[in-house]
Amino acid sequence: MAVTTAEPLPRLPLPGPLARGLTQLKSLGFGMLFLWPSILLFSVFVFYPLIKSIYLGFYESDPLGNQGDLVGFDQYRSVLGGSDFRHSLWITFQFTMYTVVPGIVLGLGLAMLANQKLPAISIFRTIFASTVATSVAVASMMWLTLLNPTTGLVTWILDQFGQPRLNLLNDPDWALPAVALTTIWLNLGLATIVFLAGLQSIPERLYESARIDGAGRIGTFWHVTLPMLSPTMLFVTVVGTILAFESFGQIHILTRGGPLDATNVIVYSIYQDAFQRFDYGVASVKAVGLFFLVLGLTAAQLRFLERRVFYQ
Amino acid sequence: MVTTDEALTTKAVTVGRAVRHRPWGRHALRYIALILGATVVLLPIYMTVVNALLAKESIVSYTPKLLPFECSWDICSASGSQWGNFPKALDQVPLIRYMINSTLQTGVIVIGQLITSALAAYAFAFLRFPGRGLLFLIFLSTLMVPLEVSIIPNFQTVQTMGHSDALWGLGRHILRLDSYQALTIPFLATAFGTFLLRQHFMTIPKELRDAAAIDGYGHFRFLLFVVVPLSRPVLASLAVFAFLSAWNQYLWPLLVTNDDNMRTVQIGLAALRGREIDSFNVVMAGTLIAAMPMFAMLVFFQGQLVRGLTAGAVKR
Amino acid sequence: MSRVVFDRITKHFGEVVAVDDLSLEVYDQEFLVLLGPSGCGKSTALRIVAGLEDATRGTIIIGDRVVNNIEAKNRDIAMVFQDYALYPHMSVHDNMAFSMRMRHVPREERHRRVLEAARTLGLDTLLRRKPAELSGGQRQRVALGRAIVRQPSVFLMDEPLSNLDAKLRVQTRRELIKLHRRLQTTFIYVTHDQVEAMTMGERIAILKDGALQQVDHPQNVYERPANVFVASFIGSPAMNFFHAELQSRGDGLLACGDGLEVPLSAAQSQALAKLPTPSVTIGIRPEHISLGDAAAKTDQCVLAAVVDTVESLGSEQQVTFSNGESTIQARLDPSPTLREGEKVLLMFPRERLHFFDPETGLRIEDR
Repeated sequence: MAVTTAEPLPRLPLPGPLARGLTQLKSLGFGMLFLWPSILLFSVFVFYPLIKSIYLGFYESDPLGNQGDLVGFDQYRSVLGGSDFRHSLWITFQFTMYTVVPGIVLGLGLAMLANQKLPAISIFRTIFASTVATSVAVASMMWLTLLNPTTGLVTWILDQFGQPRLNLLNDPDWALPAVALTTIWLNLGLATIVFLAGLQSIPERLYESARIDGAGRIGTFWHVTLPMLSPTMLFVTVVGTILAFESFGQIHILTRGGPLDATNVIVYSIYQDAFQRFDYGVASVKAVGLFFLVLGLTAAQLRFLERRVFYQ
Repeated sequence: MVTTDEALTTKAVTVGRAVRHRPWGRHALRYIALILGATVVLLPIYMTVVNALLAKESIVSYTPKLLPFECSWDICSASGSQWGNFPKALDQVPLIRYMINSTLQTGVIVIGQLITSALAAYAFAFLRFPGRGLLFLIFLSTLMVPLEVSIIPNFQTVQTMGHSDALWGLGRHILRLDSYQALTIPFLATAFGTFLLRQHFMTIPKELRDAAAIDGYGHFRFLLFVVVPLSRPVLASLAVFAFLSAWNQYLWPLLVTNDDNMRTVQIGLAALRGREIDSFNVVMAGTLIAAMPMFAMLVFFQGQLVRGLTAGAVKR
Repeated sequence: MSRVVFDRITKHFGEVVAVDDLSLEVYDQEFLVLLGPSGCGKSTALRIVAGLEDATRGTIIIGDRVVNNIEAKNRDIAMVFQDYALYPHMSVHDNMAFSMRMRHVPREERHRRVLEAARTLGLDTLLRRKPAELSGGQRQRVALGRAIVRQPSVFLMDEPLSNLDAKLRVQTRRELIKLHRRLQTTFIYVTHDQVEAMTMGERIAILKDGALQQVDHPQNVYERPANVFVASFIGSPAMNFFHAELQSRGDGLLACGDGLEVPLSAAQSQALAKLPTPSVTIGIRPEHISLGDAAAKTDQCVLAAVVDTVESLGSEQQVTFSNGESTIQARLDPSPTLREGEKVLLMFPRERLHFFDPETGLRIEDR
């Protein structure tokens, strides 16, 4: 019998190259038939916008939002070099630091707690994973309660530690950490789930071997658990960074970018420029800048960190 | 039984420094740690529930209330109508309408993503055509394009299509502001879903394809009657994942809906904050109502959810 | 002193009894094999010695101390797992040095010991490699090296050869025997392969359903199996069993059953006369059966049978016979080649018969 074929279409009684060409055309035809919805959607809503955004950046927008004069690279230069953008970058960078690192630590900690062989552990697993079911809006509203200046639990706790009653979300020094805290909680479920899956993929034998070899709890964690988790760590770091850079909802609900631009991350400033000031040109420049920034950051992370990741 | 040895316990001596503790002490500590973790995770939810159950007067107190009722020395009495906040929330804000909108939006997106990614994944897994590899890479590259870059042009697209004379008058039926189409159409294709399904489709043995071919199945039949039934778990995972992403969308629905009737739950909830600054507990009740569907999803579909989320992170 | 004593070890996993009142002494420097089918508790017993499982009841003694409450790392044992359990992210050198690192052995000493073990095992050129870059056989040697470097009093091995291909297995078997001789340490070796057990063990302990069936030198286990299970487990193809009734004939007993009619010797008759009921299970190994002729001698048993299937192996034929009531397997000389359906006379020496109590399965001593 003939070698297995991907498609059992009848062969046409034509000379070699022509038949081959036609079969190829048929494959292409079928391929397109299956792929055209995705291709169309991606073209209209992903690739075209990418190009259009770059294009829009070249034009100044008038106060009504219409496309104004062509200013070319000048707008790119002025916006990306401007203090506005740099401030947003700084805020975003801080925000990423505040969310990714504690997120990993807490996620891993909870996952390790949930990975024990104890009775009723599955209840705890579900609880730890539960924040994956909260949307950005729901989580933000819930934290509004906790951050409430008069009745909030967080403000009350801080009060016990000597910090006077603060309106956290209105305080330029506390707003960003407060929003970060909300975000950490929001992403905790996801981090726990991912780390738990990673932990469960570590073969039991390795732990037993380490036990016999005399590794204590810390030794086992450092020499067995962490190295085996390194692919997961990379994933969480990369994805966490990307998510941090794209945060919008919680800022919109909690602080609207303020106070005094203390939580004005890049995405939020893009939103403000585009949909409140109707300055599409500037907004597009920032968006394109953000795109390349995230791209570069992800590539750098992959390159730099992947060396330390061990794959099986 | 035939053995040829004797026991020699009497000669043995217990020596050794590290004595293993009996598990009980350690177990207690672990449970304490677990409960602590659970408390931290559940605290916001718990406080929301408490606040939702409080009557208006109670929330103005200085210390946060941990319980939704007053307790004095002898009795605990419920202060104010406890459950009244929920109907109030539904009254003052069209939460039901929002939920319907969200459900429709999410439903269409989920079904759409399942269909488009199944088709695309089939093409990448089973069909051989020139440029297949390159095209797949291009598909994957869409994952790298962040929301912000596409949002402004997409918004403009929706705007322009919505104008009465776009595409000879047809445009506004395809896309316009304040429409379900605008909420759903941009998200009907997904590279993540295509990737996920393709990985799974590639594990379907070639022999199955050959057998189907011999039986006279064309591509569509094969996809519909063989591949899809075999891929139920993956499809379920993708569905749950898509549901989560779609239901939680914030920025896009914010932009394309101005009419209150078209708002999704997320946006409606956020708008609730502005409106009901006084009646905080009503807002909390509304939040809980909005959160219900997602938690139900978690409880019932935890397995699929976990599978979908960890597809990229862990080698299986 | 590195003997190991199982003193009435019992292990429950919930309802399941994995190890059932096991009492066994492994002598100092002995190579003892724990043999049995899957699920017989041999791996569990090994893990209890290692300290990876706690016994539900009973005591484990290593050397002269009771180790039940001592951590695995302090029991002075080393373990080689079936799937090697090498640390995938560490080099061969670091894998072998790991246990020493955990004990804060100084670096030079670590290097020295690793190098020494590596040379013994032929790994010295592979020290920088990671496990993923090694073949199965090489990984296995690294696992061994890791154990050797610890210089333990007891080596525990859990089916270390199962993941190797047949040829490598034979080769490694011999190397392990040599290693044991060189190291002069106690080896406890778990396997389900009776060939491994017979060739490697100084003594074999056979387990079934968690209970010890017999522990003895391989030859004894072969020649005088303690019960029907051991008799059928050791030897390939397995022993043939017949069910027979005892009748008086002359000054001895006659065993009849399954087409067999065996006049028993005086010694055998005497032993069997003590049975409560006059029935017995008779066993004869395939290798002790040969083709016979009608002129049988008194100490030979004769049985008529029809050839069922013939498997020719070149050096011998493995033939399955049936005589209407039972199937008999025999290992015969390659010639004359038999054919299906042929009627033959089978012959086997009376002294090669094994007798077992049909109720308990225990061996009946006839000598």
